[in-house]
Amino acid sequence: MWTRSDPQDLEQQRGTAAVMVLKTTLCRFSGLRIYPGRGILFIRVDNQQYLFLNKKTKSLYHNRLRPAKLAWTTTYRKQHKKDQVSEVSRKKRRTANKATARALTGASLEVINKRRAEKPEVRQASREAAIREIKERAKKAKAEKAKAQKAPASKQQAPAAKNIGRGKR
Amino acid sequence: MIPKGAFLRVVDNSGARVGQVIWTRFSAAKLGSIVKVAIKEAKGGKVAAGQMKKAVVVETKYPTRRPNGAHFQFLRNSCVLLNEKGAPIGSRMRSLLTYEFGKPRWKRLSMLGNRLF
Repeated sequence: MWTRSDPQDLEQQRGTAAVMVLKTTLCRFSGLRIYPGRGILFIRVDNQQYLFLNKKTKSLYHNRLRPAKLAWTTTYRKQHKKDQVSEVSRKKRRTANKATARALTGASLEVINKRRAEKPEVRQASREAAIREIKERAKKAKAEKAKAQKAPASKQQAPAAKNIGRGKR
Repeated sequence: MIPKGAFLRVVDNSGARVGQVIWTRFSAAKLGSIVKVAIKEAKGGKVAAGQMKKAVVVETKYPTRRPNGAHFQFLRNSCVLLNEKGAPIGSRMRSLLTYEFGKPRWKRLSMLGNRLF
């Protein structure tokens, strides 16, 4: 039923239509998608159901044409490996990229290879040593900071005490 | 699109095999409409050849349109026999029923043991 409606309502309807997921089925002959409201369901005497996209596919089926011999059907394209070529090449490239080691900004190729060749125990030991060193450095830095804070704090207190008596007069 | 004079295959276990349409409500019967048939062939069972029975059209070769725009069609024209009150005569069906028979008016028919599609 077509009824007149406000432009606002129409916009809302369009918005919902964009969000809504359309449930599609596949054509038995061509393999193309059938959106709701399309398609002819054909039921044989033995209750076998054939869903066709349109009159064209239906008539081709009834003329006993094989979808594997028509170039525009998905079965033909699958048989002749039409859509798979690009995907395969992409996959190969990706795996190749993962295997190679490149020099990064922090470390050159030699350093990386050396690190790789090292045994895990040695690596762990060196890492622990490095962490210990860093911690010690941090401790020292803290202690120095604390000293530095104490010294200026005592200095600042003295002038502050002088100002107490004055204020605005 | 089943006019007067058309032959329908009877797809229940009433015993009738073929019926000829001798009366329709409008010019041509559709899927789900009631017709009167003259039984032409029968093989044992509750119905004999030469009788007149009410029947409901269950399958048509002519495509039937759903409200959403999709169509469906069958390979034959067939019917199920009904008694004078409108209840099915047979107790079993040999074909699928469509959603058009999900209405409460066809409750007895859809109980004959075939799923709707």
